[in-house]
Amino acid sequence: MASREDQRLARYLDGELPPDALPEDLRRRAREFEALFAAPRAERVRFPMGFRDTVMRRVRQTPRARAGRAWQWMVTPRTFRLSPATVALAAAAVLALVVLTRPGGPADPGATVVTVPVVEPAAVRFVFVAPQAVRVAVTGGFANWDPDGIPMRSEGDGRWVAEVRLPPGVHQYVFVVDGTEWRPDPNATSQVDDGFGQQNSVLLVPEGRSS
Amino acid sequence: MPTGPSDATIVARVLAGDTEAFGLLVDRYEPDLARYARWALGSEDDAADAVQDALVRAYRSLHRCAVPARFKGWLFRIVSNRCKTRLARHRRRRTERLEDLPAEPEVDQADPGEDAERRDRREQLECALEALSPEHREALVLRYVNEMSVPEMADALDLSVSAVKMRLHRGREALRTVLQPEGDG
Amino acid sequence: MRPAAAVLSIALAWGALAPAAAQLDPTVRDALRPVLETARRDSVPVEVLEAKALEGVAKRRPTPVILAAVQRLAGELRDARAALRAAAPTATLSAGEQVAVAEAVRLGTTWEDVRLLRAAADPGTNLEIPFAVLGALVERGVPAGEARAVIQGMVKAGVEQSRMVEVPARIDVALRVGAAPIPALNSALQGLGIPVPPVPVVRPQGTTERRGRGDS
Repeated sequence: MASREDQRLARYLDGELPPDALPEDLRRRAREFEALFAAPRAERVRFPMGFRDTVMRRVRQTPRARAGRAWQWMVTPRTFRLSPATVALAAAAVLALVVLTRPGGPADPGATVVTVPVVEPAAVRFVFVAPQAVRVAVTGGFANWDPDGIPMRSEGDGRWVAEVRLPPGVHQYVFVVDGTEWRPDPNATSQVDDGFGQQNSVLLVPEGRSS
Repeated sequence: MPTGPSDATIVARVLAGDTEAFGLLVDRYEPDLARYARWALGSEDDAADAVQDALVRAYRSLHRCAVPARFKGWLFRIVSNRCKTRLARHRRRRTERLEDLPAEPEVDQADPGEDAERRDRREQLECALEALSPEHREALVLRYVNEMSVPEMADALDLSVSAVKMRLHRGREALRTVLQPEGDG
Repeated sequence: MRPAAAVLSIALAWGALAPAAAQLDPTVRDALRPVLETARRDSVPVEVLEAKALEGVAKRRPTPVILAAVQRLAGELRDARAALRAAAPTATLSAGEQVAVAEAVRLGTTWEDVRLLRAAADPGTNLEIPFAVLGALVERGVPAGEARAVIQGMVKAGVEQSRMVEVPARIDVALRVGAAPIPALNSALQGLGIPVPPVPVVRPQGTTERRGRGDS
């Protein structure tokens, strides 16, 4: 008779309970179930020789689309206007850290419309210039300081770009070039001593407020 | 923890123009994907086709992998879609040509050293999985053959954790029903 | 719309999917254990110390160096917490606020100014960003007391943080064309339309023209 699965057995089979949390009878049923899959688990499935070659041959022939603005859908905007002076400021600080710009806002030749998510984490764009680099990543507390962090994509003219969503607060970050060179952001508003003899760049993400 | 460069690193390299680096990802994931697809589809040949298609698709749309550090889940999602498409095609074909129903899986997949009892068990599971819906089958394979955790599965199947658990529960029920010797009950 | 991918991106940023301590090497974790235990007992935010340790590991620093950096940070956070507590016993002190205070003090803010700012603000207000901007002002040469008064004014006036964080960059523009720190700050405030009184300028002879420095 097929009975409803015991709650504890279900939790064990979902990976939420260790085996010793089960009474003996349930442990036996768990083992029976798992035994069904013992052979497939142990089996080494081998694709035909040349599988990898076939894949790579097709890959080489495939045109890869240019990196698109995949991140854009993540921003739910509240719009407000910046004065032209602020825009000039941002432009003057070459390649400074900027909050996401959303094209297609209401047209006003005198101002730039900048959209900032109010309650959700802010969408932030990191930009770094390194024409000689093979790969660049941005890392920091938000990426657990993983040197591979958030990989940046090359825009082709020596600029490397990445879009990340960050919660409000103070964020320290650096760029990692070719996996080994840790470089602060030359255009960051602030740098801090990292306690290890180097500098981290600082990004302030403001808390949103209804204006 | 995989050795060598992380998935995110390799993805960045490929997006930066290093096509050959994609081969590292192929090597890294072929065994897992092969095992998954073979049990999701029931045939090694079908599995090879599905995984090959999926890998090429992954390369083509690599820029749409929103979080490169979660490449594995994204890749499995693509393979899962390829397998589902194939299964749907098989089912349509199958209802049209009953006499071509594969009564048993190809024997040449068996390990010659495998004992009879084990082979019987394997074939029994094979048939049982065939009887399940693609969603249940896929969930059971990912969890009990690929040994993926539930959170990883949520990633791979684009579902919430509770939806994954629901699929696993129902899949297990369905499997038990199918494996039940007749007359019991 | 792909909600799952969005949740993952946020989770990645929040660190929710990869708890820092789990990734520390056992040797480093063992060396840190006493420091972290003491910190936990003193309500110093342990996750900040663990993140600093992770940073040290990622930057390939030897364990003694990591330990020293974490100990130093723990001490700074302890002091920050004590100062904030003294000024506002009922305030919820976020980890970020304590870190911002530690950094502001390192840059030249006085403990007195830390207490004054915290006491003047509503206990429910998170002062992480205001303290960070305070540190940035002091770093650029604005005297600590004057900088604190400006920040205090902005907080009391309810100036949005999105405007507050623009001030240091504006000061930099003015500094680059040769302005002194206080005039640079004043021009930044004016340019951003921030409704706090300009900071009095110190006369060349060293005497200061001071009007009453009341709360604004």
